[in-house]
Amino acid sequence: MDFLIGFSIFLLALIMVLMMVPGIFAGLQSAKIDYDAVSYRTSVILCEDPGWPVLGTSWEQYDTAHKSEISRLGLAVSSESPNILSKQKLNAFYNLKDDLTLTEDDYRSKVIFGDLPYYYNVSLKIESDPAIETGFIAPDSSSGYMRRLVKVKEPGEAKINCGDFNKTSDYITALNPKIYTGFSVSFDYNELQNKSKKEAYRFMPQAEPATITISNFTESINRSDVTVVTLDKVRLKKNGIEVPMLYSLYHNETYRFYIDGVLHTMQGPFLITDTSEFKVEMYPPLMYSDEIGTSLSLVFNMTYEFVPDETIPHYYFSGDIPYDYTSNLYMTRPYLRDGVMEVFIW
Amino acid sequence: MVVRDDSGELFTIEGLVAGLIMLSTAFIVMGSINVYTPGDAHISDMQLKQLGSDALLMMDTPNGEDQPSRLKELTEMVYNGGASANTARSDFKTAFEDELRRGTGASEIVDSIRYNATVYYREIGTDKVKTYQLGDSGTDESWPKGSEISRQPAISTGRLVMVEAGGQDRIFRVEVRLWRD
Repeated sequence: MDFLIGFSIFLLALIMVLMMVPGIFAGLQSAKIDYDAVSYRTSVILCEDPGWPVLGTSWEQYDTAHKSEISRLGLAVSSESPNILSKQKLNAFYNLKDDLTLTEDDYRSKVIFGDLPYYYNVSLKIESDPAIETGFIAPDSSSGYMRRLVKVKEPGEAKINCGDFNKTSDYITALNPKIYTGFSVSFDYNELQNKSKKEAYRFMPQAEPATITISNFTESINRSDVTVVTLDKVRLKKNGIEVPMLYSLYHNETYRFYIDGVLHTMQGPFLITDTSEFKVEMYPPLMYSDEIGTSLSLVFNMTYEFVPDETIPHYYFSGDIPYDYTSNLYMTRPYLRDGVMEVFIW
Repeated sequence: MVVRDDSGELFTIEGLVAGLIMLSTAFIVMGSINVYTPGDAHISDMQLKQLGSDALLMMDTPNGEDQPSRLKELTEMVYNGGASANTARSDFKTAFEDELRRGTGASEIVDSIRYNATVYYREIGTDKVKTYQLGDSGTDESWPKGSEISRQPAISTGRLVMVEAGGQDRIFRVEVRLWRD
């Protein structure tokens, strides 16, 4: 009886030990390797992939209500330009966009793609800007790690100095002291989306915003000559015809209009005699940018009222200028800034 | 009470002790073995290779469309030879090390990467492949010391650069050997 008890204890222990043997070899495929592999894969998706969906409406343009349609959070400008990241995608990824909030689950299911609920930390630093990050505080050790050198694409913009576009008029009389003038900036989509340019340096009106800043306005007018200047309205025109839409909304998906940094509608009229700067931000996708052969223009209609003196020339702001690659006077073409991304997975 | 036969308890104790010995042996063995598999080494190799190839890619990507690629400029300077090749050497060192040093601050970047860079190109006329030492990390090492009879931990990465040299477009290869000290 005692022998039986002793022998069965021995056998039990033997079985337990034998069951541990496969565990010894399991150590060869360590968790560390898994973390590193996952962080490598994550970094590749982030830096070399534009994400999905990318055709039509790109993923970063979805809002929180439609984020279930996003299947992958890649940050590259396009699949042809690895390590060149889109600023709009970065804003969406780091939750810096108003209408899209990504949660831990989104990061896990749309960019890390692991079977386990991995912890993560993805940080990015562009030149000397402060670093931005998302995720958890990275541990000092036993985490997968990947450092990727990247460049971040700035979408380009138009910075117009009013003094460069001053015109003169001699036809000011006491009976007719006003000049109705206009200034327009036009987007020729065929030319902007020039496929012969690499995506890194191409204007991409479907995916990137266009910013138009008109500065030094009050400095450009002769205050002793001008009584008052009114901005009657700002309008968008498609092939010369006004786009029918509500211009009296502050918050809309198409644009933001600022006068001296203060948000305005495009409705007008506004007294702008003492205004220094106008700024229009047009959000992607820009209106009609998917229609081949269209052009969109942004038109400012202004009225100048002058002191009726027929002996001196009267200056006013006027012009029709293109938003394009060649106008070096006021256009900043898309350019890149150096950055670095670090990915931790554990 | 008189114990008639106490020899039987020995079997139980023996079985118990044998079991304990086996179990503790198994635990000690499992706890102390740490096999450094080739797979682990490939991970750090991969990280280094990716960093090197990213650094060359960044040097080959100008920040503006009308700017030239830094790597292309350096390669042209190498082709021109003489003093400009010497300048290329110091310029490459500055630019490449700047790339390697970049970090977000989320982790401490340990300055332990050593490298050695070479430009390869075919010489017109003689049809021979010429090489030019584009520089190293300044430790006078062209490869990891002490690795003569063991696994060599240096990895190699490179980039082909289209260069206008001698009146025609030609392909030069910039190759960088990287390892950690």
